[in-house]
Amino acid sequence: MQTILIAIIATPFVGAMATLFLSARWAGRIAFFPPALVLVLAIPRWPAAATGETNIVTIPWFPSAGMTANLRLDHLGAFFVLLIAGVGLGIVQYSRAYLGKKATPRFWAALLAFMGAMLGLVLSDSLLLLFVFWELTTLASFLLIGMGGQIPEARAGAIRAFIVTGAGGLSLLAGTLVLGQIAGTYDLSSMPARAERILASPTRDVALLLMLGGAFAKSAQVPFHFWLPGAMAAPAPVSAYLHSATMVKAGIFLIGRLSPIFGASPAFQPLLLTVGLTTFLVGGWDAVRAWDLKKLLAHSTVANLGVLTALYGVYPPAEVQGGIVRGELLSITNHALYKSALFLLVGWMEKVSGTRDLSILKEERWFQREPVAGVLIGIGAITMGGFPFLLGFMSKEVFLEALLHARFPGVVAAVAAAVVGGAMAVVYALKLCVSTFWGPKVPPDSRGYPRAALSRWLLVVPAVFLLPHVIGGIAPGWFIGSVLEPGTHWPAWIAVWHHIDRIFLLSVSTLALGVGGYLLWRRYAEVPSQPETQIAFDRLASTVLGASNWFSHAAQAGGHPRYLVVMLVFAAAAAAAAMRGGSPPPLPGAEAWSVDLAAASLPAAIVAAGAVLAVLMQDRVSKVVLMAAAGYGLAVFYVLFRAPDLVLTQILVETISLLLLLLVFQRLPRLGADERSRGQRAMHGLFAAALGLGVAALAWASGIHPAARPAGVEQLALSLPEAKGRNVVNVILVDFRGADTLGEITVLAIAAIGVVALRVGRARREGA
Amino acid sequence: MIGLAAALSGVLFACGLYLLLSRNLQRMAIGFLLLSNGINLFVLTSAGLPARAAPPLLVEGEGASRGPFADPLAQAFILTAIVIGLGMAAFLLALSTRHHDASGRDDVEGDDET
Repeated sequence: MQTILIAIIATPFVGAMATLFLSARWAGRIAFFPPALVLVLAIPRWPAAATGETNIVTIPWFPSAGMTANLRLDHLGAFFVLLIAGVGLGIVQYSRAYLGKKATPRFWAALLAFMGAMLGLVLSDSLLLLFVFWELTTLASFLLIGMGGQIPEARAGAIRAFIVTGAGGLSLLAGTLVLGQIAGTYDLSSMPARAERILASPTRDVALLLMLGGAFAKSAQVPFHFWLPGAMAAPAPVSAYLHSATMVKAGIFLIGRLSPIFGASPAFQPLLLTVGLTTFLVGGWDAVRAWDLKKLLAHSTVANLGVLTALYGVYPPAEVQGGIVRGELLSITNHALYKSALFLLVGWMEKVSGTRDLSILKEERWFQREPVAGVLIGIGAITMGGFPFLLGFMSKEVFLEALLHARFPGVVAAVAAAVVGGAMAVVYALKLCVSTFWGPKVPPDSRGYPRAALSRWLLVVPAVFLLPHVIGGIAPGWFIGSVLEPGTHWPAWIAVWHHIDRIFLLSVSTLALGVGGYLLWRRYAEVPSQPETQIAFDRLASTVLGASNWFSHAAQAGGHPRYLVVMLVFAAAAAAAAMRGGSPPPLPGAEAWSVDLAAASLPAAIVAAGAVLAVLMQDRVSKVVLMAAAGYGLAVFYVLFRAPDLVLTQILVETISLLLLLLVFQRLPRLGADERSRGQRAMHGLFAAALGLGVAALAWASGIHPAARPAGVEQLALSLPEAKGRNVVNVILVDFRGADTLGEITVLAIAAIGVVALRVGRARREGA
Repeated sequence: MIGLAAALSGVLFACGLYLLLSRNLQRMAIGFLLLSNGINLFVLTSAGLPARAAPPLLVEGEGASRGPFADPLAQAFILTAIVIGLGMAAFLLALSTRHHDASGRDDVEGDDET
């Protein structure tokens, strides 16, 4: 099992690497194999996984920190694997013909890397691993949206998507860390057993909100929904794959994984239900108002994701089996397949007709020219609008049924929201199929793509995507009850007229409302501008950028003196904040003033005089010598501090510094008077004196309060028995903290290389 | 003893910082060396010094039982810091001469153009 799961994740990544080294033509051909191979590996596992078998593969990562890279294959995970690979296979086939020369090796690499990241995400049992793959999908999405990097709209859309989902990723990371701290593990499968402990923790809601923040951003829930329509600058196959079928479902997947853990938390269900239904309504309304066909699909995707989120808010936690609620897989399959098919078809129509602007298309009768595409879009629209006979109808029924059986305050409002949202879905479904194909005029030949360049075979892919809708609509009992969600009960055959109950009445009124709404739209709709949320975001972004520009200029102008002052002020503030609590009385045995005072007074006088005179003297040689005098005085101080090694090093280094300064200064011009103005000198002097005072106070405060357990006690005790060294300082340097010393040597080596490089460059130039 | 060392670390820090705030490279170099000495003394002082402490040199057979010892960890840190300070000073000086070769000046300009 371990090999299979790793192979499933690794195959697309290997493919991505390979495509980078191939020509675009061959890259496109090779890209067929990773999703096909994943399907071959994954399909045999489905029957077992669907009936509840869970496989967990333990892979240690960083055992001492409790971090694993565990993988898990269960019902939900296996479902997503098949979805990702299955839709991916179709998308690869479609892209090769549809994008033609625009599909560069880089495009194929990004697409396959996305596939691998997505597969890794849904197979991760470790939250940390999940986070890594989560971020990889964000990155791949950024690259794919920004494919048309020359177009400002594509760039802006890519950046907006990246900022929103990236911020969501940070929220997820923070939530992961908090949750991991509470639960004592990062493995999702071990968390439900510890749910009580997690729910008893005071930081439970913090963890929940942070995790859901990540999920909502990824799955475009209100108020983060605005990035998804902007991502539509990507080519149609990318939108179909990332932004309708798979990536945006990652948030839903995460919610599914969290529901066994947080299901009993009082905030969990109301939050999901509220956010989900709000998203359903907002997305639906935006889709009703949209005039760009692709934006229409994007907004309707937002609406559908809202329904999926709301599903988790409806069912009582006890009915959530393995993170799956009844009808969820049905709804995801339904949406992923019809929506990606519609994206591909709208991409096709855009090429054929030269536009995806509904205000133009609704004047033209495209059905005459494109009957096949028309029928396929019709099927997709029927299932989107939730009309009977197709899978979409079942999906809507399940949602209504769940709401009607639920017991929570405000259930009437929720049902009303579902009906209104459903009616809006009918409106935009009708907009999509009727308005695009049944206009009064015959479409012109002048616009659009040369006919010969587009093969009708392209339509096979969306047709295959739509096939399960027909099968599932005709035989829901077999398709859902046996294949998708075994063990759940469904009517065996077409279940439209089975009985007249509340659900049926609600369905009919939804349809009636929707048709009425569509007629109103035809009569009164005017071409509007873009949705306000997008404008608001762009305004917010430019405000933030402006503010940060201002801050950078304020904090980082005026050269290094200003930088130093800013940094030190913050450091001093931090130190002052730490000292604010006042000081406890000194521990007994701390030696503040001792007999050494007499011995210390002479070197102290030398150090102080050396330092002060090094500042006051004008002549640079005197300055250097006085500085060195202060350094040698310090060496005596090290004697008093019982630090023999420091004494030796200090004397050696002070001598080298003295020689170095004297040698180098010879090459530099004579030192003139201080270039600072009198006022500047006074300011700098005051600032330096104030900080010096602070340093002295801090040294004094921490020096007379020795730690209860001084840091070096353990090293003293272990030095002889463990490291066989009598000089503890040396043992620390080469043994206990050997890595520090390695770092020190590295710094020295870099400095030496820098010095050599600076000198060699000069010697060459002089030679030339 | 601690009080005296604390005061001295403050003096070294203040003098070093004052010189480092100058735009002249030679003043900055001297200031940098003074400042790093001040910080080293600061670290050593804050580690404290137990009464009648011995240097952290152990005697075979007695081990750490004979204490008290001066804190060896602070000393190890400072040893590292002294050496790194020298490396940085050397780099700073090389940079100064290169700057002088390139521009004929021994001071750095601010980026006040904004």
